[in-house]
Amino acid sequence: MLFLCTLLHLAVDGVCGAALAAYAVQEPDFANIVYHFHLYSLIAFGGQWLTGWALDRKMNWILPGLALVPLLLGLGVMPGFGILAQAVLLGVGNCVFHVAAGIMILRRYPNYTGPGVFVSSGAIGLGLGINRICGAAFFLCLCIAAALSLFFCESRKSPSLKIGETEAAGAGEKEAETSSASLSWASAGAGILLLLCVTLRGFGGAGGVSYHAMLLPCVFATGKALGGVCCDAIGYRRTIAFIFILSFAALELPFLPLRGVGDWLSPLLLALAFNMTMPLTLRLLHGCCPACPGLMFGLAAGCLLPGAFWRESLAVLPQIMIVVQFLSLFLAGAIVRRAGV
Amino acid sequence: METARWSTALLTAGIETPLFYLFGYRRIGDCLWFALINIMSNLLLNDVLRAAPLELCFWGMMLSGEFAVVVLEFALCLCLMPSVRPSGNGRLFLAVFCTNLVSFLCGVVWALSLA
Repeated sequence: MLFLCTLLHLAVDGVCGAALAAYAVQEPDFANIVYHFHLYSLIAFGGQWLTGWALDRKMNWILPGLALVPLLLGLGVMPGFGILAQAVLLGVGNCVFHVAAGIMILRRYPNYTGPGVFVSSGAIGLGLGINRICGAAFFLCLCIAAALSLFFCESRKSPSLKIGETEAAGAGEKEAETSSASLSWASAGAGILLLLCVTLRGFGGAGGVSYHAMLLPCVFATGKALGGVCCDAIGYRRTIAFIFILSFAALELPFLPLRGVGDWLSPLLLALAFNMTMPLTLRLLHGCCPACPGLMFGLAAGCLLPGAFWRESLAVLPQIMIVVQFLSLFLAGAIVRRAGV
Repeated sequence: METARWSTALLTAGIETPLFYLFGYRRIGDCLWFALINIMSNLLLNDVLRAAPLELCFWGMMLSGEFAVVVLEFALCLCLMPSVRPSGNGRLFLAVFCTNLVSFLCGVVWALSLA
C-alpha cells in the first residue's frame, strides 16, 4: 500500500503541477497566474483540516474519496472549464487525496519511515509537472492506474478491512467522544509546538535558486524520506540532533573558503535538513490526538500556507529558525513520549 | 572577522569544557560532544547578536540569548549524550548553567577591562 500511495502522490501532484504550468505559459498577465496559483494552494492546503475532520468521522468515505480523486483531477486538466474552475477542481482533488492517503498511511504504519516515504514523492511529481518535463496526460494515466490498483487492493481486503474500519470507526467515535476529555493540555501544547515547527519549515524549507530544475525537488524528496528512515534507525532524539547539526553546517558553509561552493550548497543542505522534520512532525501530531489523524494531517498541511504566501515578506534569521525548530521538536517529543504514545 | 568568530567560540569551549569535566562528566566522548555543542551555540548566538539591533536593549538581548543557549545546550546534551541521563537531568542542567555563567562572567570582565 505504501508503494501505491507514494506513486499516487507523485501522480496527483504531477497532474496539478502540469495543469497549472500549462495555464501559466499561455497567460500573459502575471498577476492572474499568481492569483490562481494562490487560490489552488489555498484550497489544496487550507482545506485539508476540514476534509480531515470529516474523514475522521466517516472512515468508510476514505476509499470512495480516493476513487473520486482521478475524476476531479481529470476534470481539472480540461482547459474548457476555465482556469477558475480548474484551480478549484485541482485543489479539491489534491486536498481529498492528501488527507485520505495520509490517514491510511498514519493508521497503517506506526513508524516514521511510512509517512516519510509517502510524502517524499509529491515534490518530485510537482517538479516534473510544473517544469513541464512530463505532461498532464501522463500523470493522469499514472494517477488512474495507481488509484484503481489501490482501490482494488484495499477492497479485496474488504471483509477484514471493513471490520477493521468499523472497529476503528467505532473506536474512533468512542475515542472522539473521549478525545476532547483525553486531549490534555500537554498534548495540546505539544501540538502547538509541532505546528510552529511546520510553519517554520514552510518559511525555511523552500531552499534557494538552483541551476537545475529538478535539483530542489529531489532534495525535498530525499529529506522527507531520509528523516523517516533516520528516525527509525537511530531514534528520535538523535535524529533531531542530527538535523540541527546539519542545519548548523549548512549555515556555516558560506563562511568557509570553498570557492563559492558553499553559496549554492548551503541552501540545499538547509532545505534537506528542514524537510527531514516532516515525517517527525506528522507522526508526533498523530500521537497528540490518535483519534483524529486526518485533522492533524490537515492542520500540518495548513501550517505550510503562511510560508507559501509570505516567504519573501517575513525575514526571520535562519539561525533563530533552526534553534526554535530544534527546541520545539525536542519539547514536543518529550511531551508525547511522556504521554505514552 | 571570520577568525574572531571562531576564536571566540573556541575560547568559550576552552573555558566551559574543563568546567563540565569538573562537574563529574569524565567520559572523553561526553566532553568532546559538549565542546562541539558549545562551539555551535556560541557561533549561532554571536551571529544572532550581530544581526540584532543591539542599541535598543543590549542587556536584554544578551541575557535572553544566553538563556536560549543554556536551554539549547541542555537539550542537545540530552540528545547526544545518552550516558549523562542516568546521572539526572537536574545535575546536567546545573552543570550547563554554571559553565555558561562562568564563561559569561569571564566575557563581562574581559569587556570591562577593554573599556
